[in-house]
Amino acid sequence: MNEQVASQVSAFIDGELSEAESELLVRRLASDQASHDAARRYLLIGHALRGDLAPGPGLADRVARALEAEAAPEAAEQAGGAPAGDSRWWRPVAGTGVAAAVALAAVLGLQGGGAGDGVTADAEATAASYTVAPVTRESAAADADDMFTRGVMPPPVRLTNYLMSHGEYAGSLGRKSIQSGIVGTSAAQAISGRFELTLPPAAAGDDADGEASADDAAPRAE
Amino acid sequence: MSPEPNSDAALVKRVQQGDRKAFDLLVLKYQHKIQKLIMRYVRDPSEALDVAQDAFLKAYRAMPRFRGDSAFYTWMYRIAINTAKNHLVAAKRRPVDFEIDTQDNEPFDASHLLSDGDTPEGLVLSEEINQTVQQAIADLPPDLRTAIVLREMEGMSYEEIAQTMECPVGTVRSRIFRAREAIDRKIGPLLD
Repeated sequence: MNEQVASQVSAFIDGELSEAESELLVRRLASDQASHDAARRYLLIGHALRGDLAPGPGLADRVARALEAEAAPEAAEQAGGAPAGDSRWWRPVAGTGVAAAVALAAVLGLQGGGAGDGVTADAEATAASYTVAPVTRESAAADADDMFTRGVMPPPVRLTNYLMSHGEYAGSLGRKSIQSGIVGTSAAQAISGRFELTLPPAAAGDDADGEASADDAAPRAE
Repeated sequence: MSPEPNSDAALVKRVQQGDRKAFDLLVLKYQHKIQKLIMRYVRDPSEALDVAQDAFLKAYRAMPRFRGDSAFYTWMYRIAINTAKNHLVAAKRRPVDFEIDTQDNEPFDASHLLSDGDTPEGLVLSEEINQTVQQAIADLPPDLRTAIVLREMEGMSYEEIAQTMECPVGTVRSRIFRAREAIDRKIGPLLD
């Protein structure tokens, strides 16, 4: 994981990446264990800073183990009911084959005379024997995503990096500052004596007056 | 209600597509909030931990039906409360009704209560991590320390921190990242 990605992970857990950047990054987190681990450690640092770190095995680990245990029988069931491997890999190939057969038949039909009719009829019969599900925007996106997840299609790393690097400068990917919650006054008071903060003079004055901790209804997303 | 953070929405979307690792991050992010919430109903620490786990598992199973009309945490919050209440009913105990709303940010330190069933090793490790993080924060250059404290402890957005520290948002992002990296280097050996 390079520094640029780590920086994106840091901004991501703060909810400070744009929607498009966030979606690209979570795809990366699914396949890049180092990035996923970095996100976990950054969250842990936040919990430790706030004094939330509970001793013992974390809830997240318990949940992950429980989900794994639930998924294991399902996976075995699926493996038993279907041939090994993912049976969907051939679908695009089959689709292409049908299209190629139809195109070939059409070309031959145009070129040839009486024989062409026979070929066209055969091709039509062949094409009719296949049922190709209509491709919708949603199904195409799901398939593409599935292929991405399984590693069939390599992730467009360079494009992803480029978009992420330049996202904050692009209008359509403009960053949105979402997290504006401020913890209550009591929490602010609780930390005031723990760390020495360096603020510009005017801002430091505001903070000292407690204005930065004014009642804010927005929930804090840690 | 605050808008759904992009990070949560993106993670939810991935979970709905079958990505369990994305759910792991949602649990990590909200585990302490949910545990503290449940401990308002279920006082026994180990019971509360079980109920919290159950709540997250229910959320995972219900995720395909989550439409995103509310923020993930708001939805999770409701599941947690219902799970806690059902747990008490099943145990033939009367649920104690607390008037809590989803915006509740009142500090409620329950971490000391969660130590009952934990191993000595777990206690030592969490204490070591706590101390290491506190020391690492104290050792940070002032600008980095201020940025990370305003973010993690005050819950300020980058924009608010930028205004407070009178610097560009990009600088805030960089300072927070560098602070995390510095702390991460210190706690790394403890987590290996």
